[in-house]
Amino acid sequence: MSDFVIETSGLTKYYGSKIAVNQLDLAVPRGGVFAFLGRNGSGKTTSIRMLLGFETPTRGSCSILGCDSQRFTPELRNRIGYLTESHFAYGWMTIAECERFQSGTFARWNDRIFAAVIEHFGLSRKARIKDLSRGEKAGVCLAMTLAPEPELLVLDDPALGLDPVARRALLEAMLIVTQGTERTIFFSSHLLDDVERVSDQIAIIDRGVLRVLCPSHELAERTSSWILKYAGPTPTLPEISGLLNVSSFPGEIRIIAVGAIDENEQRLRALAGVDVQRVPVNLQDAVVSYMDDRGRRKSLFQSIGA
Amino acid sequence: MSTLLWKEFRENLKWGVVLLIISFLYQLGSQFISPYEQVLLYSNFESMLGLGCAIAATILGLLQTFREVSRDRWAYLMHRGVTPQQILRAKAIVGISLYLVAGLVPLGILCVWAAIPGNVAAPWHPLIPVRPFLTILSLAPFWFVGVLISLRDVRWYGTRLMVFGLPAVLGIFSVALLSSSYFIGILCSLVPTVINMALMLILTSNSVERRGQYGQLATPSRCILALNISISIAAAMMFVLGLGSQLARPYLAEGPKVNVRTTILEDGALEEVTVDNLTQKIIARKINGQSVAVSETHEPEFLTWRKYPEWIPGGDLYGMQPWLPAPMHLMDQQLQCVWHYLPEQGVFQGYHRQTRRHMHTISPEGVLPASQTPQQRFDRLTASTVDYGVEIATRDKDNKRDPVTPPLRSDTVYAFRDGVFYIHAESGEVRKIYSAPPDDPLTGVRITESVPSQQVYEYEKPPADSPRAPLLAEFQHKKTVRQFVIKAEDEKRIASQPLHEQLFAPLEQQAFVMPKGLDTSLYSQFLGFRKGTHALYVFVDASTDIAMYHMLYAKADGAVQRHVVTNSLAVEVLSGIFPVVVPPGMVVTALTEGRINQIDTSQVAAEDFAVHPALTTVHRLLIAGVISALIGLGLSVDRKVSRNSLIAWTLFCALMGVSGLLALIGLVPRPLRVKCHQCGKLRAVDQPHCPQCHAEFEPPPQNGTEIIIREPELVPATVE
Amino acid sequence: MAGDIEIILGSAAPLYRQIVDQVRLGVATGNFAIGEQLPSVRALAERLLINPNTIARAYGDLVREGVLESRHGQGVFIAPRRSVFSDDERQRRLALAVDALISESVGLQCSVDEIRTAVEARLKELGLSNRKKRG
Repeated sequence: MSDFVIETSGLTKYYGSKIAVNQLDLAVPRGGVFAFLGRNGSGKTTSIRMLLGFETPTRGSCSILGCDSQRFTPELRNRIGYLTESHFAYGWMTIAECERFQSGTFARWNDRIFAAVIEHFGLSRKARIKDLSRGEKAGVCLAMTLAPEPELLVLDDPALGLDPVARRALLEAMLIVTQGTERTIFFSSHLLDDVERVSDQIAIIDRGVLRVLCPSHELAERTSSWILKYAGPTPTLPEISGLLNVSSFPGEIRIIAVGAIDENEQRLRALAGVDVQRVPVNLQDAVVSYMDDRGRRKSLFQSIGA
Repeated sequence: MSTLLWKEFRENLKWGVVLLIISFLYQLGSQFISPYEQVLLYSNFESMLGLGCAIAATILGLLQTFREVSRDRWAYLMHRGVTPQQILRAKAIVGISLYLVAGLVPLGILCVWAAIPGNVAAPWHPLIPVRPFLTILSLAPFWFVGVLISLRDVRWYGTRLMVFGLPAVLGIFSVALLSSSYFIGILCSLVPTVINMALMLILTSNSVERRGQYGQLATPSRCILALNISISIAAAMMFVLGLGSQLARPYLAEGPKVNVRTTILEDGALEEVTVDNLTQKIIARKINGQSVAVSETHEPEFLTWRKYPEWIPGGDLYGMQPWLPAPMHLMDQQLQCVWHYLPEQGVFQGYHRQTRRHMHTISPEGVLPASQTPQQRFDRLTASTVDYGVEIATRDKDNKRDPVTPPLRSDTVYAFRDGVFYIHAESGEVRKIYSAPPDDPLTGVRITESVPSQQVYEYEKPPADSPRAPLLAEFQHKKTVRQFVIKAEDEKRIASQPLHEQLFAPLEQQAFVMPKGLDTSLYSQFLGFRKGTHALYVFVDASTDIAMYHMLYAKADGAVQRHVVTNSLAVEVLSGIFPVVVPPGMVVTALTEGRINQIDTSQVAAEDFAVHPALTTVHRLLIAGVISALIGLGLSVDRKVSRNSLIAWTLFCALMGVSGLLALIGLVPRPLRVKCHQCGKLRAVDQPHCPQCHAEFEPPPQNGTEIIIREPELVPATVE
Repeated sequence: MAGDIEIILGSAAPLYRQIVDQVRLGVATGNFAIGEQLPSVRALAERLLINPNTIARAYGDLVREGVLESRHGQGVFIAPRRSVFSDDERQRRLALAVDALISESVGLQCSVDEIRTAVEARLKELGLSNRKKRG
């Protein structure tokens, strides 16, 4: 039994001359929930598709459950559940037909799970997919993905477009899956609340480059922020190590930085005529700072001039 | 697998039904519209069927695939515990089955319908549907074309379509091989079909697995795809070039603005008339090399203008298949029958127009009722042409055509291997008018009106005093050509007597003496005319790479006075382009050039004696091959292909010319190159090590904010 | 009650830390009685809809600190106040905590009286004023 269910090594993808994924080195350990975060167009979906063997890397390799992604066998696909963000299912099928299709093409099938999820979403087997709402379709897709009892669940933005009730059901499902088993969930999401709830580990990819890979609770712990209040001319900032983000407001500067907390604090407090206040950083702020443009971005308010 | 089949079937049944309806409408509609004819025998029906089958199969493959190709839907379909090959196989089984049902069910019904007497005014033979059946079957591989078009991951839609070439070529080949002796023909026809299906299945199966990307395919698939694309591009280019050259022909600078047309006059003199191409006006006239005045109203009839049978792969449909009935144009007013010639029985059968039942039989004995079994039979039918549109009939004193007297028409003169028969169904007359020598069987007959060149002759209203045009009958045998000039002695006798009594009593029989050194067995489409003391021969020498036209002006005893050799304009212009562009196209051109529809000596300029082009086809092919190989080599090296691929692509480009180069450019992408951070030289991004300095790639830029913990502490053992 | 544990998303404190702090506070205020059973990891995870590993980590820390004790096969319970630390160790830790309080308060430029008043008020508020040292 290997330690890692997903491994990538120097995974790189070019689209034309643009680099979408830049030498990604990931290792997702077995068991637990792994959140893969990044802005739209950051290389997240491309990476996931490469992992599942639906895109070919330009360079480097990636593998799932020890098998190279370009050489997946049906036996391996049986062990992976994959849910895409569009929650696709054939519109012409009824739910019962979806079940028939899915159970006929996967090795394992757990009727009970399928029935439970369908019932939870309040769906009838006779309903046609094209008549369902987004959330209901998501329920069907979830049922189809969970019923084969896969070892690894890969979810690409599973909560996209879901109403709060469906989102909750999704979260519950994710937690049930990883309860007391060696099953792993690898998912991406923009809903940082959900990420905070369920993830063990976080990875953040920005413009194709991996910037963060750590246990979720550590991200906020290693990040700190300060508010500098001043009157008069804008002070020049000292060298801040691990600087993530600087936002300027009239009379106020906010700084978010990673690591070297004491050192940075010392330097800041050494500034004359500036009131330094340390503000704790929560997970969501930390994630957003990683994704945001380095440093000098103005807030939308400032840009519009509200 | 059964689940996959079920899903494909449910999803696509509706298209199958649509196809079935269309096929029904076409096949049964064609028959109901013309119940006098056995449509299954007609090449029009078959070519439409063939085209329709190819399109239908392609569309079906398209419909089954192109919607599945969007990213998430494809992932949904492919990410399951079955192999991509199984998925494709299920699609193929369902798709091709629907296609076959749509094609064959109406065919079956049509056959049953036609076999019942009284439904179709034509005889029935169980082998009649074999050709359409095999057409439908051999075009099934086009289903894969539809799939490939949907799958291929290329940016320009034009190149997406370039996958029809290989199945088209093999499909046409398959149908073409059908012509000769039937059972061997059927077997021969099945072989290319099987090969076609196998190749397309291999290519498509691999493509489905690899999402249509060339670079990911296995070697056999790559070869098949490269060949397919190259053939498709070649076909597309030939079509465009052919079309373009046809449209541009009058305006091409190379083409002559004038044509010289050659003919022999009554006394054997050689007449050459120069005609302006665009206005068709006569510019100059020479007789035996001497210029003479041009008369405004002069419209020369060109004896050297003849129609030859078109060269279609498989040759003469009716002659070659001894089982199948051939529709004949024996029209008659009284009997009201539609006539068919049955090669196996050697008789003609007439089916009544209204009752559509077999009413009469024509054998050498005459016109018999259907109930009577004929005791004699005709020998094998050969080609016979009587200039249609020209009703060669006698004229009375006022030069009006005499409708009563049986005329010589294309539907009254029939050539069989052992002789020529005059068959006039209405009067019941069946008479052998010419017997071929037993060792020199007949191969064809031509009868035409020979018009004196001094006369203007409008079809409907001949001048009152125009002399009767003699008929020129040319009987082509296997070894010899015999000509007969048919003249009526005087009007009265012709009008009062049945024409045929006089007809082929040899009033003037001339056999040709071949000029020395000519062996007619080498030449095709030999044509000769004799007038007075001289003869004009035109033939095509297809033994060279480019078919060369020879025109000889000789004395009756065989002494050649002038010999012109040239290739036709068509070859001249197109062959200039083709070899550099499409070497296979040149080969095809060379093969077919010699068998064009008309030999028109208007292409021969009088000054062109023994003109041989400096570069023959072979030279052109070689030069084209070398140039293409070099360019291909350069492109391949630039694209960093492996050594084996390099050799393969170079050879491929040498053979396929421009279309091969375009296939190479289309399939093998140029790898993106960036500057190596260590040595500064360009290096491909898909190679982990720089080819020059062996350095790896720089790690992605870090800015001090990275948190990378690869081996996190494991969660403490559960507390409960 | 032990079932009153809640979490706040988007707060500066990681979730596991919130649980740890809440349990500690609950024990300190007497909300959680000695020997009371806390919800199982699974049950709490289900109720709060968070990752059970988070809760496991929190419980693990609390067990290590001695706030909770784990009875095999039964679950986690509030542990009796045991002197995990020696007297000297306790004094040392107290001194550290006091230093932390003082440095923070002095940094805020509070007077000594202010500090003392604030501490006493808070202790009263929490009902700990009359607690005696446990033996």
